[in-house]
Amino acid sequence: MEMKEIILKLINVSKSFGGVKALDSLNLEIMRQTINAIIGPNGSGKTTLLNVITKFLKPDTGKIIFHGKDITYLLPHQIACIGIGRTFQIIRIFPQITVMENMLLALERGKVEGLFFGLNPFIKYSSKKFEEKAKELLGKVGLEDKINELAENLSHGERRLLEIMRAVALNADLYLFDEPAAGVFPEVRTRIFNLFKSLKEEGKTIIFVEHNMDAVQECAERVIVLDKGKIISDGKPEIVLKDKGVIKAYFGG
Amino acid sequence: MEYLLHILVIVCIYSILSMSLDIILGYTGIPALGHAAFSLIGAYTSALLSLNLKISPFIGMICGGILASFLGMIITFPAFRLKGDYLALATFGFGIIVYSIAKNWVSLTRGPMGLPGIPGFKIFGYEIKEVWQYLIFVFIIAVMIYFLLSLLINRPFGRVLKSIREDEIASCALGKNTQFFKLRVFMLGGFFAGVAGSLYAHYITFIDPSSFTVIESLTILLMVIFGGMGTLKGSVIGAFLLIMIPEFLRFVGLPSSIAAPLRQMLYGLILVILMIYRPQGIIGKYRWK
Repeated sequence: MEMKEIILKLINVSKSFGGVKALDSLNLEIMRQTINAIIGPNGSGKTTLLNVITKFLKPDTGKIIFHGKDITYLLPHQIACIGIGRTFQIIRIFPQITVMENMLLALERGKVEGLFFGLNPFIKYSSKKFEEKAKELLGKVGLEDKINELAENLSHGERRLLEIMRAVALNADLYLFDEPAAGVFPEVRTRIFNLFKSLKEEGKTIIFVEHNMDAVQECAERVIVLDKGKIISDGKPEIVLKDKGVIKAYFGG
Repeated sequence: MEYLLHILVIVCIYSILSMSLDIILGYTGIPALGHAAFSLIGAYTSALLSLNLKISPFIGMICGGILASFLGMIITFPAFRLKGDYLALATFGFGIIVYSIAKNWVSLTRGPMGLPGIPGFKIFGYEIKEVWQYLIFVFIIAVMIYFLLSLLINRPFGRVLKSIREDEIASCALGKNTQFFKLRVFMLGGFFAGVAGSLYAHYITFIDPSSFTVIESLTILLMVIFGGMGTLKGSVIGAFLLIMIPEFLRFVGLPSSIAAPLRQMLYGLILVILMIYRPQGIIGKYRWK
């Protein structure tokens, strides 16, 4: 097996809610340019793990290293700026603005967002370049003819696709997708997983949470199984999914 | 005729107030119920500077705006921690605090007696005295502010404001420092509201705290909601209509002891009808969640 660099490393990360240990001294290394699935029963800490990495939750203990840098004390927006994009379990698009504006929010960053840049009548500014980019990205998942729709008018599957493409538009190195294929039509799911594969080809790293075993086998090259905040199995999907401990935790059998 | 011009001056001043509230309320989605506090700061700052230190109202206006903008900065700190209804109450409280300070700091503001004899604006040594001259002056300023704000909201900064209104967490996940955006939008809104307060002070030439009560904040809020949150045009239309409609009551021939309370009742009635039949306002698109 070829050696790959570690992009993300969690050392001894714990997170409790009251008396419940959502993450229990978790150690994890994610290799660059891989697709990783996280599975586990409800309440096993999958979403907590993503939230702790992106700092929407602060870990109680432990360290998180990204690209060799300690990111344990950064804020959520800083996490996005250093190259970690994410989606949410409950879809979080901006409903009352257009699909295009949703995309532009991820594409236009930095100086152009300044207050005095915005107020200065002597600066000519046009989003045209970014609009082209947004169209190109949306075209990859077949949303190009919806660009002028309000995001709230999209169907569930289209909303998922928009949220994913908006994260992709950040041009991050690491993507965390929380149940990207939950409740979507199989054809849309295929679109999503094809997108993941093409992102990997571009050198991106992906971690996604998923319940559907077929989907995991179809797309992931590594499966991490969480139960009660601990990793109970970790490896190639065909091996992990036959693991007795996993079957017990997952199917209760 | 002069009466009509006077009303139009007031419409222009209120348009500035409602536009500056709209970028906070309609675009960023922060329920701010203390907007009159900003204009109070602007009005008193520039009035006191021109009365006590003989400073030109133009400089006073800018100083008033800057001071109001600092108040905006202070208001933002609870805004970092509070959300929704709680934040609305906090801004409401701020409005009351600022009003009480103006009313009780008698040595500086003369309290309820108010400040009479505030000098008017001078352009190249020529004092603006006539109402029509003042109308042109305020109109130009209102148009400039409209132009600047519409530029702002169509640029990336404005888009980020809308994203904060829609979903602050998602906005964070896209790398937006939402708290810094809120801070700047409160400061900007405060600045223009301060400018409006100063324009009012130098026009009426007399101010007292009763012109900047919480009811006044609610009137500005109503203008924004009436015209349509999240559209600058709507704020202007809201200001225009909510000043014009009650003025017609004067011609019905009611005694002023009835006309004044009727004005308040009319505002209330308009709000109730609007919320039932057109919750997004006259030309608004955005619905409050």
